[in-house]
Amino acid sequence: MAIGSLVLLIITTLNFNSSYLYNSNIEIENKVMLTAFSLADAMIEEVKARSFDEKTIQFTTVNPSMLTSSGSLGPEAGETYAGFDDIDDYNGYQRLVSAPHAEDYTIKTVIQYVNGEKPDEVSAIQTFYKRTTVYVTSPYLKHAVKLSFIFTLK
Amino acid sequence: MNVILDIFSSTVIAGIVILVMMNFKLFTTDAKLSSDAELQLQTNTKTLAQILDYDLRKIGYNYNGTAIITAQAKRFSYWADTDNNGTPEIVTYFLGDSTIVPTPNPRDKNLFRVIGTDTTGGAALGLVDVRFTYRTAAGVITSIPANIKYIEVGIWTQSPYAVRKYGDVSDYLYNYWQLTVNPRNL
Repeated sequence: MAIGSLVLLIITTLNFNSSYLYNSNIEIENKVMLTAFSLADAMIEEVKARSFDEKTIQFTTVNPSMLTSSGSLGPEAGETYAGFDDIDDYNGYQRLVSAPHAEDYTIKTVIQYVNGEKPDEVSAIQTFYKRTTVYVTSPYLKHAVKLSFIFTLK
Repeated sequence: MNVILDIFSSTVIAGIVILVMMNFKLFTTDAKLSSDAELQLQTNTKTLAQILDYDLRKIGYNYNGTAIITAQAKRFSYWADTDNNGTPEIVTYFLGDSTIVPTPNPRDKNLFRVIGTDTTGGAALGLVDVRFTYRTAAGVITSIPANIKYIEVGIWTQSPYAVRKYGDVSDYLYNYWQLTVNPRNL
C-alpha cells in the first residue's frame, strides 16, 4: 500500500511539474509571438516605402515584361541594404533583431510575383503584383510567424 | 508492527498527495489569472499601437511644408488635418508621469495626445515606456524633420496588477510592440 501511494505521489508530482513547465512555455511563446508579429508588420511597412520595381523608380510602365524578371528578384549587383530602392531588393534579405524582452529574432523576407487573379499562385513571369512574405523566427518560437502583403503597380 | 508502519507511512504519503493536489489547484487558479491578465495586456498593447498607427498615417495631411515640428525620442509633434476639415492642426504626443495613473503598478504612464488647442488627454493602457525613432528613406536614423520619411515606435507595456508567478514571487506581466509607420504625406 505504501509503495502504491509512493507511485501515486510520483505520478502526481511529475504531472504537476510538466503542467507547470508547459504553462510557462506557452506564456513565453505567446509574448514572443506578439512581438514577432509586430516586427513582421514593421518590416512590411518598411518595404512599403520603396518603389514597386527598379524599372519604375522614375517612370511607371503599362507593360509587365518591362519589370525585373522573376529570376532576378533581389538587390542589384553591388547594392547593399542602405541603397535598397525597390521592393524586390528585399528578396532574400535577412536581419537579426533583439527586442527588449527576447533576443535573436530573425526576420527574413521573400518577394515573388503572383497571379493577379489568384494571389496565392506564384507567377514565373512578371506581373503587376509582388507578394512580400515576412518570416520571423526566434529560439523561443516553435513555428515561424508568417505575414504576407501584396504590392501592386495598378 | 509492520501494519502500523504501513498505515502510518501511507497516511503521510496520502497527506503529501493531498497537499500537492491543493497546490496544483492553486497553480491552476494563478495560471488562469495570469492568462487573463496577459490577454488584457496584449489587447491594451494592440489598442495603443492602433491609436498611434491611425494618427501617424495622417502626418502632413493637408499641410504644405515640413510637417514634423519636434522629433524626439519621447516627444513627437507634427502638423496634420486630423478631422479632415481642411485646416491642419498641431498634434503632439508625449509621455507623461506615472504618478497620475491610479494603478498599483508604479511604472505605468499616460501617453498624452494633444490636438490643436484641446486640453491634454491620452491613453494609459499599461504603457510604461515609448520610444520614437525617425528614419530617412534609406532607413538611416535621423532627427532632422525635413529628412524623416518613416517613424518607428517602440511600445513597452505592463499589467496594472502584479501576478503571482514562480512560487511566491509576484511580478508585472510585460509586452513589447514595435510599430513602423510610413506616412504618405512625408
